[in-house]
Amino acid sequence: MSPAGRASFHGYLDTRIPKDGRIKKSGYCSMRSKRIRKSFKRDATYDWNIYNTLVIKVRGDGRSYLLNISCEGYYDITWNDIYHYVLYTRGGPYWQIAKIPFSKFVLGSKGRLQDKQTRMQLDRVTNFGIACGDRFDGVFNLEIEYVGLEYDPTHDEDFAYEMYKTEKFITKKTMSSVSVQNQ
Amino acid sequence: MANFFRTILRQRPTNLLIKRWETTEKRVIVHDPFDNKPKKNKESYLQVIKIFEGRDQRRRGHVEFIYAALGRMKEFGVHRDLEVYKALIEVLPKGKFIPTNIFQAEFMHYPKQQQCAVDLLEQMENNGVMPDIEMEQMLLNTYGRRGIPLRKYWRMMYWMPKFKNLSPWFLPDKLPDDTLELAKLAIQRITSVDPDTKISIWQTEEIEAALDKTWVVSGQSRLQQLLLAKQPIDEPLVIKGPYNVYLRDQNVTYFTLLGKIRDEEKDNTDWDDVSKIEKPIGIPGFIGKTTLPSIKCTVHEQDDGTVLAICATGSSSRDSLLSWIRLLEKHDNPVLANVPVIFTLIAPATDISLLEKHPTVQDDDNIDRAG
Repeated sequence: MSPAGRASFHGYLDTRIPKDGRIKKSGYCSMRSKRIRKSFKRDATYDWNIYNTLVIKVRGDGRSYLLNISCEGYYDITWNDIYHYVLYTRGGPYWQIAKIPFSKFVLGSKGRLQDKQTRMQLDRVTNFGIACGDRFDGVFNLEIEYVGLEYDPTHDEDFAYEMYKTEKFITKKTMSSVSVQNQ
Repeated sequence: MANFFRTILRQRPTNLLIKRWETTEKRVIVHDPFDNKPKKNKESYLQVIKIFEGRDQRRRGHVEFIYAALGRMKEFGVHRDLEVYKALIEVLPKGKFIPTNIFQAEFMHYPKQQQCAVDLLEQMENNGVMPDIEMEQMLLNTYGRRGIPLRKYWRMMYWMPKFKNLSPWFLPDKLPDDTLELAKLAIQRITSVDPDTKISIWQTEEIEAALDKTWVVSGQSRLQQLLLAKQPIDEPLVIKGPYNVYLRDQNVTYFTLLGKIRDEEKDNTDWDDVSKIEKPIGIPGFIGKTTLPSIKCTVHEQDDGTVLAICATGSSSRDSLLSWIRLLEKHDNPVLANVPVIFTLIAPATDISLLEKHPTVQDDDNIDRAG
């Protein structure tokens, strides 16, 4: 908890790589909500079909954080499907309200952005999380006041990323090799 | 005599058991061309690459060389340089790795080399370097149209431009080295909430009694000046800090001046009284007010206090903050002469001479500073 009484996501990111030959990159911290359940501990999903924007009120330290919405499906290929978006914080003592429409979220699996991008399916949402992994050493501190959903009637974009038709076998669904960028 | 000992010590043991351990003796010294360069910069790095290219016509071991070179880029400071990456791709022989039939194309032809190029592109991406069309041509000539590195290049060129300028607060690609410029950028970023903010850069030499000779970057808007003027005089203002703000990878410490929140205005007017109805706002003839709105709705008023000004100083010491208060007072804030200010620095940065054990120090502005 921060001194102002809000939730505080803080820690120290260290990008030193442990020298065991296997690990190539380090310095990542994330937190995630628990999956909601129906009765008898059955896993359930959120249904956000009536909303189209995510609203978050934060007070950051100038670093960029990743908002992750995880939409696990039934099959194991899609268990690591997470929709990402980068939240840039201003820093300073002023609170910042960021409204991000769901059409801007990018699909990635285990950190790698997929070639075939689709809009997030809002009735399949399982977890929401925030991560910090912007590759700079140092203390990070994000105070969160609230996370909410909103329906913005003026926003009518379906999906922000075009999917060009490419030759067969060139683009792949799970094995993309571009990772999520934080600049 | 010494000669005799030397000949004994020089004899290599021919025992079979010891022979097995002989492989740990390095008979061949590994020559690391990156190590013995006197000046580590782009020129010497490119020189090493040229030496490698000129040495062997067949370019044996080019994959290992590229991996070693990638690991040494940060030392030489060239990890954000596109030309250097292109020079590394030039090392790969052209035309040899292009598949000639359908089976070669399907099963990653020359997998080690393709993986090497993918790792090179991955390092480019991690450092935020965007490739260009020339690199596409080079990759095309090396690996052919169906190669994996070319696919990675296409993906980079699709995603990197989309993510490059996502941040609403513009930061130049190469951050300035000077701490004053960095502090100015940081204060501009923090106070971008209120577009009316005026950023001023002062030197503490303007105040005669200042001990610290440094610069002060301060941000305050006219709204904040008004709020400050309305503060109750007997309640102290608090300087909170040091807080950190990150500008990409640089850290700037800043301090905030916090005041009390304005009391809620009690509106006791009887709405049913029709004897004296005032003219409503919005009808022409009533131009505007220079007083604050009665309900606290400015962005500077928050739950834990009213932010009255922000500053960053060269040395984040208590003395420079005191100079900041005096400078604020000098520039359009006469109220500060009478209001007490509390400093809440947790760890004083440079005050070694003052033996203060408790973190909060109360400095009334009415008292002269003793040395």
